[in-house]
Amino acid sequence: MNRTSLLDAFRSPMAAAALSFLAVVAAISAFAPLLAPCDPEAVDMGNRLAPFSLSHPLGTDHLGRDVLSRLLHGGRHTLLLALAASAATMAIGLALGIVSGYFGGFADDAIQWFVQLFQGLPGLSFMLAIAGTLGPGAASLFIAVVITSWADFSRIVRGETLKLREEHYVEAVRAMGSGHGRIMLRHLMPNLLGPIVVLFTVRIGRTMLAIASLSFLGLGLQPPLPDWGVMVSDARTYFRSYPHLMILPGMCIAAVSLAINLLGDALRDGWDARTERNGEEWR
Amino acid sequence: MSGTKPLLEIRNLHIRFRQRAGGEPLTVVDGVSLSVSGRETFGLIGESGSGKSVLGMSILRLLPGSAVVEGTILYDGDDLMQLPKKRLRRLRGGSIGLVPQNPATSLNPVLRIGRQVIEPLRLHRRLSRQQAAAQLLELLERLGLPEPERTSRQYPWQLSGGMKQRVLTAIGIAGRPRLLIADEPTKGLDAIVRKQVVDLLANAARESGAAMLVITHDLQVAAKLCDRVGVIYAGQLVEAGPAAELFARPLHPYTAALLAAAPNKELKPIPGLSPAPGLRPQGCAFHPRCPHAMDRCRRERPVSAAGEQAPGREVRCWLYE
Amino acid sequence: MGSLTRYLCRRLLAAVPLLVGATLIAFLLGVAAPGDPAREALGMSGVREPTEQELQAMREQLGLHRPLAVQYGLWLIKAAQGDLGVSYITKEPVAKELLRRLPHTLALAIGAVLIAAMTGIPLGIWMAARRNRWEDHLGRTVALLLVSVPGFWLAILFILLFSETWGLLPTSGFGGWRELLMPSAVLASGTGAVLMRLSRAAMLEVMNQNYMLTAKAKGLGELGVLIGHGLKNMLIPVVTVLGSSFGGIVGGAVIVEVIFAIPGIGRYAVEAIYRRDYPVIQGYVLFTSIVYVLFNLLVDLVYTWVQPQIRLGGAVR
Repeated sequence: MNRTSLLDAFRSPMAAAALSFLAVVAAISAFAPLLAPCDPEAVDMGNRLAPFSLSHPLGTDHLGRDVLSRLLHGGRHTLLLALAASAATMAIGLALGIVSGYFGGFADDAIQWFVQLFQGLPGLSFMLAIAGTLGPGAASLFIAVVITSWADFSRIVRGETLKLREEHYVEAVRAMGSGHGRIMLRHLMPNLLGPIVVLFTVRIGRTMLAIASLSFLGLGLQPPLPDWGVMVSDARTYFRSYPHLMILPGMCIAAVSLAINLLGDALRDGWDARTERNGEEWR
Repeated sequence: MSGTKPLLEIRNLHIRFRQRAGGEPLTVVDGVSLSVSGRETFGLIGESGSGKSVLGMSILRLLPGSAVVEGTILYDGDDLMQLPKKRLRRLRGGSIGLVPQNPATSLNPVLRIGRQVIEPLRLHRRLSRQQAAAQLLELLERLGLPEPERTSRQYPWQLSGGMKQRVLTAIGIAGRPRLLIADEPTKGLDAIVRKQVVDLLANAARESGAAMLVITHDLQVAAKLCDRVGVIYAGQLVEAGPAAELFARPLHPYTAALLAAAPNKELKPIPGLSPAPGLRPQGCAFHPRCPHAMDRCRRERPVSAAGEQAPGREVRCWLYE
Repeated sequence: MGSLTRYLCRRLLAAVPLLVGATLIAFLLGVAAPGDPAREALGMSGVREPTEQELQAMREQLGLHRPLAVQYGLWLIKAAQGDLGVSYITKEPVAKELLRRLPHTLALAIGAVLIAAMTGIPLGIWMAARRNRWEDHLGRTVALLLVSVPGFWLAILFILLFSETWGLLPTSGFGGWRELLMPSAVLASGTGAVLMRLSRAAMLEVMNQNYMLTAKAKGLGELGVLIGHGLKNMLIPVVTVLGSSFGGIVGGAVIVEVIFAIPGIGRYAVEAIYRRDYPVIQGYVLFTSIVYVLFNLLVDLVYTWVQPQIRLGGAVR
């Protein structure tokens, strides 16, 4: 029943468009090596900063590399990293959040105390410090994202779990002898699916922006990787005369981020409308 | 009663609500006509959901955007439905005062009492700041609020239910209205406080010489306060007349049943349920529950028969054709 | 008054674990950092190629052989006294450098908060008042765009537009309000968009309340009802969010400082990262946390104005 109402969200044309767009982006990113006309890392110092032409529809960058090919490849690493990091965050946040909310008492206090330790630091600053200390690269970005985001995630999951725990059917299932694990897995989790999907979507969007920002600073993904964030960073020196070298990759990031946010909004509206409509009856 | 032009005249009022999901708008008020003269207290009696509060709110055009209002509401000769917004706003809180339902939620929780009561004072009576402040205290005192100074500095959540009701009444009469609309003034209050509120309203009306429209489900309150009374069922006015007479000799079967169901009478419940808007039966709305239902009642809606049984009384029932 | 102080004390106490967490993390970052503090310390006193003995001695001197918990305690005590170590590069005390640059970051951040609040909240209210009409749809689109666009890209666009093309504003440096305007506006964009959406939702919620009907029945005009009666009520959730969104502003300040060449703590931290100046990174983490927590305490104070129940001891809804 959860899944059908989430799918209701796609009735909105905007959401459907956003999802299609993201599917296209995912496909392009996956098949970039096949689609790109040139090797994105092929340097050609004789043809630097070339204007738009037939062989290079979007020109070349400061190292003579084909801009179009680099753009096509540009999302792969960021998106993959964002997905992986968000999934890890979700796993940790979900586990700790459900345990915290369901058991309450000492386990809750202990986990919450631990969560508090991480809440005093603003996200990007913290990520900056971690990436800076561990050295740039995808691995430290992954760690940085997970460390900075799991606490917030677990807090929200805990809140939802607390709400669900109050439902009578949990008591009923306990009375029938179900163990804690079974309850958490088979009864609580499915009902948490709605808010979690919304959270996950929003999280991917924010993670993507954070990774791009750090890459822009040179502290995330590194050149010569064909990544949108890296491309923006590379083009900083030349942006007065060749603004398109910065604008184009930035636009890609913005477009994907926009689509993700649209999707997240639609999902959230769908979930809110559903909970409004049904109240208690669907359980 | 006849001869003087009524202060408020409602003619054939229909109020429907558009639904979010589309489809037919729900009819909540179904062709009501009534009039209130100056200095008269008119009681609108009905159960929850009968449409009486919606009717009251429609006079000042305070219904939500989904409401579709048709008909005429004449106040002192002006059609309120056609009045430009600016003039309507001058009437609201001024010439026509409202004491809204629900004292718990009708007062702004983050503003002090004094600020909330002084607003209509300053808006409609052109008083200087000092004069308004003085009037405020006088008003609060007159309405039986102890320590008006202190109360005016408090917030609504610091007052009891009865006190909140008094504050709401103060807001309603602050602008010295000629017509006061009191929506369920005693709902949710216990017996002692109820009596106080009834006395409060009676005094307020008498002292200011205002006309009053009291919307209530409480028959005793209506009996105490009102000169004339109208009974609403399923959005229609089924009976109207002088209060004492109507309660002594109810004409419409619904009115009779209502009186019989009262706690101080036989407490005899009316069989069946009130129809929800949109599910009103064909013919007379009451016929499924009426002990006197005839064939005609199932087919045709009764029209208003005025003045035949007695002067000033009207009733919508085929029994009286 | 008693109720107010009790509330503030409670908020101060709640801030403690946050600060403890931040100090712990800052300390651990120092531990996790590559490089050998003993070697660095010896290098600073002029010893280029220290022997193993000298390294050992220095390690003992710095207390690096002690258990972590003890090291943390000692570090904390020094930090409380204002000693955050010394920059590996410049040999200057970190705390001093950070304090010197802090006002610039604060000016930027406060400017951003002001811009975000003063545009986001009124626009949100406006959108609620014009619900589902073209103003509402336009506003929601703009808000969505601002939230989705990366800060550095917006900054570049602004520079291209306002500096290069129209020559209205300077691109870098720090001096008067002109230099601050663009960076603050860029920094404000994300939070402004969030405030727009939140204000709209909060106002719509408030508009449904019975006391708004009472206000209308008094004859007040649209402004009198919305602002006079609605504003304080709808600010309640908005103020709550303002505190947490400040984190985004502090973080985003780094990007803005780098692009607009503003000498704040964010840019200092980034430069330190390039130069592997780890004590500075540690100090930066601590500073941002303190700024963030203090701002939230300020927000808690504002909250008491918006919800009088807190001041006077009533139950909070």
